Amino acid sequence: MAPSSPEVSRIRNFCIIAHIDHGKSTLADRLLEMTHTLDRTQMDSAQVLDDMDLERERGITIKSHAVQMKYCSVAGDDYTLNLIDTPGHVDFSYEVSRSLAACEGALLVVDATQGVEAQTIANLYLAIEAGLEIIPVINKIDLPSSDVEGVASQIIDLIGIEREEILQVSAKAGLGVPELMEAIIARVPSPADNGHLPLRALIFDSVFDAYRGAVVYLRIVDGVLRKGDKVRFFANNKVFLADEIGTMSMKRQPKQVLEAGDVGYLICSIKDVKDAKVGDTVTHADAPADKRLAGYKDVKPMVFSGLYPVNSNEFEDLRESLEKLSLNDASLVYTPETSVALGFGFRCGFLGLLHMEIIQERLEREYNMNIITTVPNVEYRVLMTNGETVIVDNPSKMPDTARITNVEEPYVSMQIITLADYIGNIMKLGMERRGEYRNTDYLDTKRVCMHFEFPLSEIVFDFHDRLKSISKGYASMDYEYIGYRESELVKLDVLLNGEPVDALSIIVHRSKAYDWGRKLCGKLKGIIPKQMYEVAIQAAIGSRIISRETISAMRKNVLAKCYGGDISRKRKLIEKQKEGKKRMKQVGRVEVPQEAFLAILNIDE
Amino acid sequence: MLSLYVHIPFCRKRCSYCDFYLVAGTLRMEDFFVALRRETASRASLLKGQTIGAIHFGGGTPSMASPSLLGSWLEQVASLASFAPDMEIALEANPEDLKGSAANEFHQAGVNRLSLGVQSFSSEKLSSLGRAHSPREAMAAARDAVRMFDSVSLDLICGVPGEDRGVWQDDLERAKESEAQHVSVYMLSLEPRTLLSRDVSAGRVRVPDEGEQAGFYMQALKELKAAGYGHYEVSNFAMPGCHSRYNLASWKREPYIGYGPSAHSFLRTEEGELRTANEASLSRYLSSPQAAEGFREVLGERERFEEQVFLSLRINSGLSIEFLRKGNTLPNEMMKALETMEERGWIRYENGALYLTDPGFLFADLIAAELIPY
Repeated sequence: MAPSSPEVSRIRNFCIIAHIDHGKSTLADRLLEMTHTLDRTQMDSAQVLDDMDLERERGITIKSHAVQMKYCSVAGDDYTLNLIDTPGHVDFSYEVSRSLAACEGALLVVDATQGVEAQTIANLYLAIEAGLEIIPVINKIDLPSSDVEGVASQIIDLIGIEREEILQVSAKAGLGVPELMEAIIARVPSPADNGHLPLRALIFDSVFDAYRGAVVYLRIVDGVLRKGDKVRFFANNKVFLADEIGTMSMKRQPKQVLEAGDVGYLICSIKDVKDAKVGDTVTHADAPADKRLAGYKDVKPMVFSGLYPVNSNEFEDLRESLEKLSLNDASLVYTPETSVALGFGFRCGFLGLLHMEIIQERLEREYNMNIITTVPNVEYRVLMTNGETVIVDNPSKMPDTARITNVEEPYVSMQIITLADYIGNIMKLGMERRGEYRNTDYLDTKRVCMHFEFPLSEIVFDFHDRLKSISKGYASMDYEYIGYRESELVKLDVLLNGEPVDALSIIVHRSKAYDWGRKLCGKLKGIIPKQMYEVAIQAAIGSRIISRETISAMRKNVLAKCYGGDISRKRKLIEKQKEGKKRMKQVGRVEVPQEAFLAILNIDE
Repeated sequence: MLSLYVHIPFCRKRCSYCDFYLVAGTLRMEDFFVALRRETASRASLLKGQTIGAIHFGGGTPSMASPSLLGSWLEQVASLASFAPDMEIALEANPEDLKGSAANEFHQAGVNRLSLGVQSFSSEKLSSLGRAHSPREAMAAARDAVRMFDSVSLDLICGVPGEDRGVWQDDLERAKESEAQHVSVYMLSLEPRTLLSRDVSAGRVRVPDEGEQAGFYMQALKELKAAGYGHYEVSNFAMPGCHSRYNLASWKREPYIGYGPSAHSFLRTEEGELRTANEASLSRYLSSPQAAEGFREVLGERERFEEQVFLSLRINSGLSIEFLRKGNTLPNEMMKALETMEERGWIRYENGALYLTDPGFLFADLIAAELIPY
């Protein structure tokens, strides 16, 4: 008989909810260590669950993973614990919700020196909505600046729990971790014993393996999945053969069977990760379940930007790189587009700005692409005078004003948790960004949760950085999409020597157009180097010029000295100059550095 | 024909704008010449059977060396190679080193060309550059040198803090008055890690901007050409036949051997065209002059092409379109750039070759960068 899955009553599926830096990864490491899944020397002093370089550098988890641990309780019983990691950034909230749906319990980790943050609350609500048992854990209790009781009362206010139910740990020092293990066993419910039902498995993540195709991470909710089964994916109705199934400890461990309650992986020759969508349900092809699991959503990109190769003959290389990247990232969408200024490129859709930055960095680092990114924008809904509605995801494609009845832009509702001292600053920031203030709740005597509604376009740029700086770091935010609203929006064009540069066009609120135009021209003047001739930079709304700057022509470009026979050094200087030119984009006759196309992102610097 | 260069790395002190390799003081001058003779002996095979057309003593301040030391090294070279009958022996000198009988002694030792680091005849400019001589000394040294040597060159700097067109015009006039056969004009460039660049970035000193510098340069071009000097390199002007032979050879990619720390050599060998340089360290040079090399590069086709482009531009010897096509397919962007440069009046064509115009010299680096392949 094949090795069977553990008794359902001895399985615990849980995740960790925490704000960035509150110690999620360190705690996960301690759990891996306690269960001998991994010893300290293997951990290489860094956190194990985050295995992409970028994640380490940014200290955040981008992609979720899962890991199985074996634990023998104090009472002497063997348990199987599945820790499902969740992404820690608002761009990936749908992925978070699916990871949560694969669990029965969640550890709510709060830093004893920082208290509850907005991101934590947002994910906590998602967990409560998903019906998870919440185990609050106060971390970093050994730090001198910790305020365990203060943080405990915040948690009590938040989820109405008894003080004794809150655990206290120091993940770094390993304090309180054995008690935590026992609490997980005692308090997280075991999965429902639904092995007799038709197969339904929830996909909560997938990664691409160059040799095996998509590796689908799933939670068996109902029924039994056997190696060799024919499986069907609800979202696209495609049928695949389960070549390999198994569980993940630090590596994949093939198994013959996965039963209701298990967390594991499935490899079935899926060539495109887009066929294995997060949130989708896997069932048997021959004896399918009637209904898919609830909560499936086709994730839509919220932020769009044009990606162009600096060197126009690298268009095909960029296409290949994007193809490869999207194998591993089902939420990346891209379609070819052309720009008068930048030539052939792609309009890409991202979940958010962080997602965009990650893709950009990966293209540059892993695929060695030299790319220009245009200013990110949201998707506008334009009602035309002829009654048609047009979706615009590229500012330069905004129709002529005369043909527009109105324009709608996406709005989000946002919560900001901060100290009462910073309410004034945040109200001011809210007004600057066209925010509509709703109300403020006091979490305790010092901490407040402020509610706003914002146009998404106003917060995609540098909102989070600004929020951090005006609150000296004591503010956290989270938002969710709430729909489209009509706004007074105009297209602001930039002209270089009279030629409009489509890739520099932006859509802004009418009330801000003049200010943006002036700042943008000033900024570009600082970025675009002197050229062989004078360059005029103009900002325009329609045919009306609203701002102008002039870059005077270069007056000299020669080094007088060339002595001592050091020809090599001189040659290298000229090669360097050539390299610099290569990195610029020729727009008409003007050489424009890449950073010009993102000038607007840090317009206030 | 082969040229020789000797880098004598000693100066009284570092000038505020200088980033050349040098050592302050002359304590180790004799040791240096011992090492120089050892390096020359260890590289004797390079000289075998060669005829030397020019020898250039550069630095540093080679005029701080004693004429007898120079003389004994020249004898060593004479024993290893033959000298062309009209060989040029040039010495870079500071006016303050030529007092009394010094100039005559250098002449006796064989020096027939003097390159004088006067920099300026204005006392304000000289003090802002941190030079040790006065305007009077500068003029006296120039006049004496012109009487004694076959040919004399003056170095002038423009674009010094506080300088205006009047000050610069005065320098140009005085240079002409001195009857020196050669003038080198530098636009002061701010080299990183110099005192001057530190003062400028700290806001203590303001230097003329690139527009003013360009103006000074055009002024020099006009004045010197009107006085009969030929403009034969970006920064160099000479009466007929009075160009610096070593420098011109290096720009024309003719072979030369450099001796001393940080000195560069260019040789045609069986491996191909070879550029080498000695390490910029006096102490290591003194202890092992026979193993002074710190850099070596055999030029590939691309490097040769690039050198040819920027050096031909600097001496304005004409770049044939045929030649440019060898390195490039003359892509669209380059054609556009060339058109613009012609429109701007920076380049002109003659018999199928590209030349710089007078204002074009101010953009020689940019034009070179445009012409080298991607």
